[in-house]
Amino acid sequence: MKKQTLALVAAAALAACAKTGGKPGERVLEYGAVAVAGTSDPNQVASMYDADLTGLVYDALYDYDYLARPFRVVPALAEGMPEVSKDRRTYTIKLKTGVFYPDDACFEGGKGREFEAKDFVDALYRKADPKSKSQTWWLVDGQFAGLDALRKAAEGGKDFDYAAVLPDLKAVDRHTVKFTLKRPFPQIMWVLAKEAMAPYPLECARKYGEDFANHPVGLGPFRMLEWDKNARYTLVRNEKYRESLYPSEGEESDKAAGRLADAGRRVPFADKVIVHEFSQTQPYWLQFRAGKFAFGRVPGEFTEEVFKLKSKEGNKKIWERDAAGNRILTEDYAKKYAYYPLPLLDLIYRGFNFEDPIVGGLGKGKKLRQALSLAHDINEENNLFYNGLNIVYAGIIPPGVQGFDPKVKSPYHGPDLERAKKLLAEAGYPEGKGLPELQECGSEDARTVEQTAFFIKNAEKIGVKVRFEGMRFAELSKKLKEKRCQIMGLAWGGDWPDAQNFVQLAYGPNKSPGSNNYNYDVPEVNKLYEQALPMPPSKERDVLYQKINARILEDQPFHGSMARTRDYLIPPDTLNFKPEEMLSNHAKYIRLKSWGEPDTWGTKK
Amino acid sequence: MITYILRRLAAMVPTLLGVSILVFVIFNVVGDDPVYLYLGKNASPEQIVSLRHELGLDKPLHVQYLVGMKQLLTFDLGFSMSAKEPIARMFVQGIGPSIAVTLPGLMLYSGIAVLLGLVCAYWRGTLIDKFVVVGATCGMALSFVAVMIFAQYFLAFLPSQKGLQSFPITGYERGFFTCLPYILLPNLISCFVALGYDTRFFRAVAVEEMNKEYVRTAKAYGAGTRVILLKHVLKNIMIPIISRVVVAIPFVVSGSFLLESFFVIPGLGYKLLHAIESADYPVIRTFTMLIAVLVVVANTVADILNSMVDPRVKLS
Amino acid sequence: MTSDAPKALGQSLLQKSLRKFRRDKFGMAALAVVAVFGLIALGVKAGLFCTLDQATTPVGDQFVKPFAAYERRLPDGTRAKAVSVFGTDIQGRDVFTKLVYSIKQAFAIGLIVSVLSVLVGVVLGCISGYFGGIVDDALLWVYTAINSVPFILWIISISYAFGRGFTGVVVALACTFWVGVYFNVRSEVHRLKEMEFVLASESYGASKWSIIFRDIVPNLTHLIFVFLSLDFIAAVKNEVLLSFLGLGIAGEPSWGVMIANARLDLLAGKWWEVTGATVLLFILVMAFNMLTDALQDAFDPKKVG
Repeated sequence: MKKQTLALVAAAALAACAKTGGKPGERVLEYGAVAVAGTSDPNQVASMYDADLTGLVYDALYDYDYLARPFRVVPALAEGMPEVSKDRRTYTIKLKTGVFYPDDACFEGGKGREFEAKDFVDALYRKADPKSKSQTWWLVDGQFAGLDALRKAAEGGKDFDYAAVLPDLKAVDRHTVKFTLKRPFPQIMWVLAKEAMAPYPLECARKYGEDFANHPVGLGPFRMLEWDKNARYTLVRNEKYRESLYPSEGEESDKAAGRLADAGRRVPFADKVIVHEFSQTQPYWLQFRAGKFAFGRVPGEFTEEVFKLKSKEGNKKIWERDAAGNRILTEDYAKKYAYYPLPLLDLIYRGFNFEDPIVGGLGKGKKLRQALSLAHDINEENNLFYNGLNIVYAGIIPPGVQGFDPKVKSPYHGPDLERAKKLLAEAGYPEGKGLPELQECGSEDARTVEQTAFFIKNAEKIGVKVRFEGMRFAELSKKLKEKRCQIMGLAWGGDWPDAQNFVQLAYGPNKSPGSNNYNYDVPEVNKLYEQALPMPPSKERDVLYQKINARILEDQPFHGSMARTRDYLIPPDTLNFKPEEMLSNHAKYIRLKSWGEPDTWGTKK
Repeated sequence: MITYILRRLAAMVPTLLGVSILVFVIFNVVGDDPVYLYLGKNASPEQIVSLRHELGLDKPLHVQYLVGMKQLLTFDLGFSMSAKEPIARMFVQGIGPSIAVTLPGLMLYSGIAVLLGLVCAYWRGTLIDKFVVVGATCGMALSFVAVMIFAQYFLAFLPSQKGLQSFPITGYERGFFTCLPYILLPNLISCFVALGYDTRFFRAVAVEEMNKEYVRTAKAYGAGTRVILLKHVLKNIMIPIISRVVVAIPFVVSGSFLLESFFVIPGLGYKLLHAIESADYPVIRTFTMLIAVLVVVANTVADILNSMVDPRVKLS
Repeated sequence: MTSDAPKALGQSLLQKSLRKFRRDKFGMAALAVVAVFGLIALGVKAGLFCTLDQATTPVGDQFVKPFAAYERRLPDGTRAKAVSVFGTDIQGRDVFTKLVYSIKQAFAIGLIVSVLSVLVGVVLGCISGYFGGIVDDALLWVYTAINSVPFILWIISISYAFGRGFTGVVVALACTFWVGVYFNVRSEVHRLKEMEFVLASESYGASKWSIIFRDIVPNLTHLIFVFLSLDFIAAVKNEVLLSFLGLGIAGEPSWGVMIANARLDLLAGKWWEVTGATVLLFILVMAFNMLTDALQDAFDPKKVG
């Protein structure tokens, strides 16, 4: 009897898990993420997953064109593109009028007020306020003289002067922003398009305090309905969302894939967005395969299941490819999904601390670094741990951004043990004699450990001993920032699709605690970088960047490099989805076929 | 009784003080500094100094300790830097899933274990007894991690690969009925793993009881198996049963670390593990103290229950 | 009567216990299994069966299936046709070699942790139980504090604080496990302190330390054996758990690392590594569990009659 009831409960429970979702007739968009968002506060956005959430609940002045490649910035809250002065330092931006915040208890009377230019300035003030512990201050650090000074004045626990009016960053009138940069910075448009630069009502940030991270009040296409931390967040359409239309231009492939069918229609299409957060790949993958998500990314360990493998040469997998060079889905998958490969703007590298007495510097350390690079087999690393799917390239500028030159080859691309041994001897450590054990830092997850073990084995082949120190992220960040790692396996994901965002990793003044974690600091490179900084992407800038790249390849402050490709699978029910990880508001554009035609929202003003 | 409870409560103070000092030493003296984690990839030296100041990490250690204790005592739990949530809310949100994921299992395996223990004791030395004992020992020898991995693979992953309706791989939905499918497998696993230990424990207790005079007398008078087991033995071994279950309850709150992180259930264990990973001391401090209080209270309750069930047990 | 008398009593008890233990078929079988594992561990330590280098050097392509034909990479760089024993892992290392090497790891962790925690527990337990006073209060306080938080929390916290690796694992486990030994030894010492032979020694004016070492410690043999065995199992099992949380041993293979790391591989159909490690771990822990039972039966003075 007892057993029977138990079985009944179990059966009922299993039946209940079939599908979550909304009320009948509600257009619910569900997808998953293999990571957890921590915050939706534009001031705190730290990871791609934070950005994915923030980008849906906030709107910035500018946005990426959803379909255009190469990327293009288009106005969002701004009325049009900025008016730029001759010296390319002063920007005047007219903002849209009649845009209202959603109703929230933080407003007077609970009614959302109109968005004003001051909100943008206030948001920057809050970034500059040391008390707000902003993670995104670096976006504007050093750009505006006045803001830098205000921050400086508030350091050491003093109150930030929110009432100050700056000449170089101000709201000229209720709907116009004007700012002057310290020096021309062509990438400022990418910065303005970042989720972290979205305006918000300061009174709300104040009212919610630190909890503002969980209680967004923004102008984005969606509003936060519920956030079950570490599990899922549910967003609903922001009824007050400004008029935003589906783009009517795109690439050839967009037309072919039907991604222009909704051109000119008002977005978003979904009433509700549910994002399921996972901390492991396999449950994510199974839920996707069970048909729960509007799109999916193939986790590395399931690649062989998804794509047709032609043959194997040793550990090298040869994949079957179509005319365009893309891999082909196996029958099972081809029936259910379309495949979209997305090369990421990635720099996976193994850095050597340039300030370290042994592996650093331009003397013996340089020869040692070169020897280690030659001992390592990066193609095999790619085969073993990435199914051979990463793009291995030379230097600091990844494929896919202007300035990348596929012809450049690294002079220290291994494996070449003979040369490595020779260089090691020249460095003064014949067969590794006299060289103390080196230390490599990395995160402690299983894959990193294996990957580092592979490098350690390779280093051993020329007599160099390396010890791995795996650590959790807090400790790794600390060690990196304090320059206490000798060798470090790291990855850099681009903040914007411009070579500058990568080349800055080799700029001396950016060394730890900045983003140049391997502390490379060479006057010539610094000078070239500074020279190129005010230049927009151009042939001239490419020449300077290639000079820097060549120098880096010779000095080998890091070896690599690899960029990943993300494999997206899209079920036929999902329309308008164009994968891209530089932008974060896909959910605004996606429409499911099963919802039927877009409703009045899509056509009404 | 009341003086006894008061005395136990008073004895709690030094214990909690000890726990708080140990936790403080582990995370503030030996462990590492969370500041760098919170500042992201482009931190500047000034930012580091100012955040350290903001978090009070530049104060002398004893001051840091006292400030933390004051916050705890005034129930000013503060805000978690790593979870970006008020700590009080983390606790409120986490307690439900934690209970759902372990309490049914605890009840289930305690029940089964008592039953098996009685059966073994009654048929002591027979094949049934040996079978159960060997089975229990086998269960104890399995690694918890391996059980989780294989259970997920065979009971959840493979069936769903084949398109069958089965346990969800991971995840959690709030709500009394909606959470059921998600908590079934974790509960079965904890049941499976703990069953061995409890069965052996209750068997030993029951065996001791069965050897007592009155059982033999009852047998001699021709009392039936059922009557002896359920009426006499079970009644008399209630004390160890209750105290073992009560003492296990605090572990319900924390002991689900592995299950919660493996099955991604946003309970206290999962949250605490994240806090430990990011060296979020205020969270760790609050959670460990709460757990310690629970442990002490549970032990006291177990003692009191014992005295109520059996007047021979004296509260001292 | 001389002060030798109680020792003689202890000895005869020990002999009796040993005789009882030898008659326990399950216990002897368990001991044999443990001994085999131990011998293998010793052999590995001596470099007999496999070296760390062999356990970490690829011998072929990645993920060769068990018992499948493959091209084995020889140390001189050439390749030869061979049949794999238990397959290869993600880097092409021999899983069987890793499994065998891990036996040494398990014993290293198990022995160091159990010996350390028993040593600390017995010493502190004796001091606490025999001398009493402030020292006893202080130690008992630490014990109560540690004991009122689930062990797993301490283990995780301490190993996070000490960092990943062999030392971290050992420190975390030993720091936590000693309290169990301590408390049991303390109560046992309390009991023994009132026994006739101790009182006799005291009346003969034997020094306190000599009483502890000559009279009390020998009577703790059963506790020591049982706790060595219990802590050994607990250490080996907890190593798996720590590895699962990313806190295990780095750089060298161990069952914990193999189980935790091969989790992803299992889902992609590569079952051999995690299965092999689980099975070996199971056998060892099972044997130790049975051994503990047998020891408890044989050495508990209350049961030896």
